[in-house]
Amino acid sequence: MIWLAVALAADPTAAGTAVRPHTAALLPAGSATVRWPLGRTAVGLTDRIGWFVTPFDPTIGGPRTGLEHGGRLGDIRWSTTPSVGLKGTGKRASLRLEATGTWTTGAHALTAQLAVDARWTRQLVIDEELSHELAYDRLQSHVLALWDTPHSRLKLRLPIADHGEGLRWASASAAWTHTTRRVHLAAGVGLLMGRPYDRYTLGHYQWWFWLPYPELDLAVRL
Amino acid sequence: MPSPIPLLCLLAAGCAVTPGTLDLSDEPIDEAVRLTLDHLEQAYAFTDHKRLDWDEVRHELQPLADAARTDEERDHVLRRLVPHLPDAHVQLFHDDPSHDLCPEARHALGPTLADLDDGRVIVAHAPRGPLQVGDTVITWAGLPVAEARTRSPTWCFPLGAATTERRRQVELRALARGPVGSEVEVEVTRDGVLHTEVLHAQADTHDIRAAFGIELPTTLVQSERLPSRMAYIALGWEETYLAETRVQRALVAMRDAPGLVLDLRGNDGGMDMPAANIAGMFSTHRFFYETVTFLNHRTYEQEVIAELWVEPQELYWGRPTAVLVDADTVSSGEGLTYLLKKMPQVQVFGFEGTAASFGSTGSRVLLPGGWTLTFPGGRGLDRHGRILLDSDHTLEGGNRPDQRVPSTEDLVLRHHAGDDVVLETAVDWLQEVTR
Repeated sequence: MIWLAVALAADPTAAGTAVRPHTAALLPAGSATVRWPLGRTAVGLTDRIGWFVTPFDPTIGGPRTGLEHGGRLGDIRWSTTPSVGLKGTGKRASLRLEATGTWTTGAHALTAQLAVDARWTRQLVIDEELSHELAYDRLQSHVLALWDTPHSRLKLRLPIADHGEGLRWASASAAWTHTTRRVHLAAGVGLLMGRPYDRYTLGHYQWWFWLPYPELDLAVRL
Repeated sequence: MPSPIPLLCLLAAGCAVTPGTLDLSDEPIDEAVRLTLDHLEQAYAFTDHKRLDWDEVRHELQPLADAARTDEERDHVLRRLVPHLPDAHVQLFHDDPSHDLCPEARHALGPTLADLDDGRVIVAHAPRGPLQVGDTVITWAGLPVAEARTRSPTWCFPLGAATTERRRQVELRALARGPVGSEVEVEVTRDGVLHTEVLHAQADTHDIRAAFGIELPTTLVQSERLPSRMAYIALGWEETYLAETRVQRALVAMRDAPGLVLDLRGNDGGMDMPAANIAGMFSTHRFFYETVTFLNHRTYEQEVIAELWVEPQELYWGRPTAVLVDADTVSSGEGLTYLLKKMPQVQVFGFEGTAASFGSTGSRVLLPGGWTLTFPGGRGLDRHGRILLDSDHTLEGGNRPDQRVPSTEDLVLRHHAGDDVVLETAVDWLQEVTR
């Protein structure tokens, strides 16, 4: 549960990659952004392609790396993001596909993201013989909606599939944001609502949680 | 299973489903007993399952409480409560551990007694005194031993005894103890000849658990390679991901072993999800474990908290596995045994079944004089909503061994002499099936 709450504070989306006011855009070629304490640290390789590392993403599957490809259609920016994740032990891998679209009008931006994460386990089988089997583990998927104004960000996350169950919980957060040319700071609070899954204590909670958590996101453009 | 719910409730707002603490420490003893019984009647998770008659309990205890004037009388009333709750999660302990030993069982009379399958009670261990190992006890303090054992100070045992098997153990352990300076005349047969001996009580320990033969585990995971090449892992309790990670590492380190002994004797429980995840190392498929309920303090109803499933893990151990249990295997240790019993490669070994006490514990009553009573406020249910593992009114429950080690004179004496006959039996089976 604690891990879940911490992970909710991270902003792994394309919308968070660039330092505002270029929200929801790829970084310009040669530009880099470091995020702290969680989230996506990225480098703009070209104006249409970025490379990123998400150091800590436990709700989906661990440290993650990938390429992001983006473009623009009028007021709408879009990106697709295939990435791979590795659990700390190195024995569980996942492939995630994200599709993100942002509609910007003036200083406001509305972003929607759909992410689908398929996980594979490299299982050590100690039976009559030793073997390693690559087994499909489970599918996770979530949708994320963000609304950015010049000094605030509202975020809503809904898991469509999570450990075999869908739409069991949601999180919403509100953050105050402050942006300079190089630095972007967001500080706020979030609330997890619903019946989450927790691998370490009691599995699938049937009890409705109202779980507040802090949110802090600091990005520095290099 | 100690409940993780308090931790989560620190994080969640509006939580009414927690193991609560009722503080009666400043109440006079008569009022404290009255309120405790009222509270237990509402909050104890297994009143119906065990068909507890709280009016009968009140009828016995309340007059004692009303008449209690001294600290000793107060302590006696509180100790008398525990045997009414046949549940190993029900525990009475004192802020000062040296206070736990009750006067009727403060000193040891010398022998360790044991039941045999043929109905005899024998002297299994005799570190001092006139009795000899192997003596058959005929009378104790002038009564046939079968009657004397039922009059032994079992209320001094600080835990509830949830099974008939466990009650009989406690009877014999209590029989072998007495007040300071006490003497007991005992008749035994030795080599077919009747002997009359007198036992003198002597101080041995201030630890109530040691006095009654309970050893708490001190190591989370202990692993080694047995001389038979079998892997051996002893799991003391189930705690967060550390337990599953260490079991996994131990299995990987001994991956060339033809079989495994998983020793859950004395496992005193922990959290349920690590137990499910450890069981997942022995399964190729996902399956249902339990529904967890807990008392809602606002409605006084059992409320469903969580649903647990066993899922295959990153390591699968499919080789023959012997699980060792005893009457001190309790709570999520029993849950793990229950799950492993479903696996085709697993057999459970032991002299006796597990403690039959699986509910979610952690609820407390703070009592006068520095005493605390803990009890379970929640239940584990199977897929059909039936209470899982906790013993019912017939004192049946827990996990029975698939291959019970018989309590013959030879095996019981060897066991008390320090030979691990349960482990030997398990290894014999592993060698046979892996030959």
